[in-house]
Amino acid sequence: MNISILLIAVFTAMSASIVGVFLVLRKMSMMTDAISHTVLLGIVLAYMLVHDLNSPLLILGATIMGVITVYLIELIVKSKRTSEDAATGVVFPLLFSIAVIIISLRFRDVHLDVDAVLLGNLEFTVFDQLVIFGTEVGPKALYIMLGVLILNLLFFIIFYKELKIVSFDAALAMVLGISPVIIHYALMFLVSLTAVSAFNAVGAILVIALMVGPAMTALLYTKNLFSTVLNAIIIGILNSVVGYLFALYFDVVISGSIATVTLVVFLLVFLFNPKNGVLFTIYRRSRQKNEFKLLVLLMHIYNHQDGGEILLVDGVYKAIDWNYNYYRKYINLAIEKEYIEIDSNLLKITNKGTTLIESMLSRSV
Amino acid sequence: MPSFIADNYTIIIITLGTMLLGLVNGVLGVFMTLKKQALVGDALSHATLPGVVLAFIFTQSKSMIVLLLGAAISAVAAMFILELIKRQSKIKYDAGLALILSAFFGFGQILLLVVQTSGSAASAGLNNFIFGQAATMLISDIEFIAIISLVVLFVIILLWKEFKLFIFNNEFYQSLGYSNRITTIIFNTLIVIVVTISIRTVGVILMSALLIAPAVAARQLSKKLVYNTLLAGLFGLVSGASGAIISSQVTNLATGPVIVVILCTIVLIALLFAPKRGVINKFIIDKIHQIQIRKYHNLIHAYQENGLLESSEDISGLLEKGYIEEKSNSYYLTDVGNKKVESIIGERK
Repeated sequence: MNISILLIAVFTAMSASIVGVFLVLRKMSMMTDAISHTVLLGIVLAYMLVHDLNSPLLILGATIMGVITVYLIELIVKSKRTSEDAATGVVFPLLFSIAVIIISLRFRDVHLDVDAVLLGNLEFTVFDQLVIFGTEVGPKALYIMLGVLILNLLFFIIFYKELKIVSFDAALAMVLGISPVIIHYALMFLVSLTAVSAFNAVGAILVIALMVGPAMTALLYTKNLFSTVLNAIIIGILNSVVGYLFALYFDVVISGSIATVTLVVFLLVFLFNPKNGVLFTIYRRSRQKNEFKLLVLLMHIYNHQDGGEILLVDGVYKAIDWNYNYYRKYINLAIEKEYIEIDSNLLKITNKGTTLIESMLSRSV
Repeated sequence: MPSFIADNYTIIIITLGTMLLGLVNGVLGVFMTLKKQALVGDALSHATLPGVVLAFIFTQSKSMIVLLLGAAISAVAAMFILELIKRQSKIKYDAGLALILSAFFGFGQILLLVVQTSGSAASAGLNNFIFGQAATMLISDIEFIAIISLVVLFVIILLWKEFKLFIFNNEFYQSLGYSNRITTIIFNTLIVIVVTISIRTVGVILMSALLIAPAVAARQLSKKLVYNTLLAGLFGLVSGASGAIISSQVTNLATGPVIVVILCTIVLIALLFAPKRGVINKFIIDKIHQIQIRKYHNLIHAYQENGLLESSEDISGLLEKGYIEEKSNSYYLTDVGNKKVESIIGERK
């Protein structure tokens, strides 16, 4: 177990979760997909200028390319020639292709591996130590991610109100003098920066899960923006710790493991969340359906008994047009609950049943 | 001729394959883009990775059909989760896409590294599914791709009317007694099939461009679904063929990225120069219109004032052209002038 690797994973997950909430809320999740791919072109172009893979200019170039991607997509969308998702789906493969072609034609001998950029390698980050005054003080990636985390946190705390208004009511934001465009591009810059910094650790594709996964999970059960972000951060931390331990135990790649855990955790909350999880919704609906059917049956018996009619057990199902087996099921259920009784082939509503129906009727009035 | 074929046998095979893939992707992409599902292809292509590796782990075979079957199963699982999220929660569809894309890919990555570190030499080449590798296509692969593509095209032609209504007027479609659910299943199945047969060639990352770009370009050129589909198919076909040929002439150049760059160039040209919707053409039309309005603003004003022209400017030019006439010391629009104004105002529509 290596604490600094775990810390890098946790810091990455936290930074990604913060911006992720706003991406999901603003329907821009697939923008991360685009950004995380096109930054490769930024890295390639910056490398062509500085010829040094460790230069901080690479991070800057890549971040700017991410923002340019967003701008290009929005340019096409604004021209109203095609929808946003189609624009996204055309722009990022193009920029990515250009990067791949440049690499394969000019930098085959340089360690600028598409594989490494896409998939990242958390395990190797420890070999690149930050050296201050001749002593190793920990992996560089750790400090980079810590810096990005602090930046994201500061942005979130300082501009919380602006982010909230811009995300939910852009028109109101304009009236109040907050520019949606500036907030939007500041957010996109941070998304891009987070994606680029997370490269070494988790790679371009898996950073997407780190961004949208915790946010989606938190949005399933929270309704207040602040608690959504807080919950997303906690889920992000949880996912990365569990993913790390899982990877350690089964001896598999950490980044992939964290991404998988992210999906699994989302699905667990999605299915079993007691408030509105899918399984509970299905259970609740079937219970409500049963109750309603039972009431329909009781109501029929109640109404017709009032008129002094004789109700044969084998006759009522025709009157309410139910399938016989289905009808028997509810008859048995009603008898079990002592709402009705059968007296020599005649259906009779009990006092308990009458009380129920009458209470329902008075309630509806 | 035989010697030409013999010399270029591999290139011809690959070109045939990429042409077919371009065609079928272009055609299906039109429907996907119209259905606002442009990025589903991207998510599904990433989601195929675990299936490919699992198929290899279970069968230890690298036969194309086995691996693609695994890919398809994995894509169907992804599709199922996507539809579940869409129907049962308020989470935005695109967020679901992003999570599925990334997490499935991550899971595939785990499996891939497990297989590769277990030292099984046969596992080499599974990587091709990530970045695409057209150069290793065999004649049997092409036959497989050809059969599947033709089946997909046939289904699209067969269900042409149904798909058209399904996309453009869903309520009406359902009122005719068609099941939305079954149509969605058929449509999604087609997407899964097409994505599956294409990933080997273009790789998972560039998949979305192959599906969407032809549709976007075609949309600029025509308003009719038939022409859109035909044009998109043609664009896909042409870029598939030219991409394969160019990349075979330059060493170290992967086919997928070249095809994508060609496709996107077509999109760019269409966006800029399309006869009606093209950005440049639209600009010119707007400019001409502006000039016309400035030149004939007196006439337009008169048109709105029931034909009475009141102007302190020099109107002799208008008189000469017969747009206005003098009646009891006032100037009125003539019929010719009326038509002129209507043609200027009407242009906007």
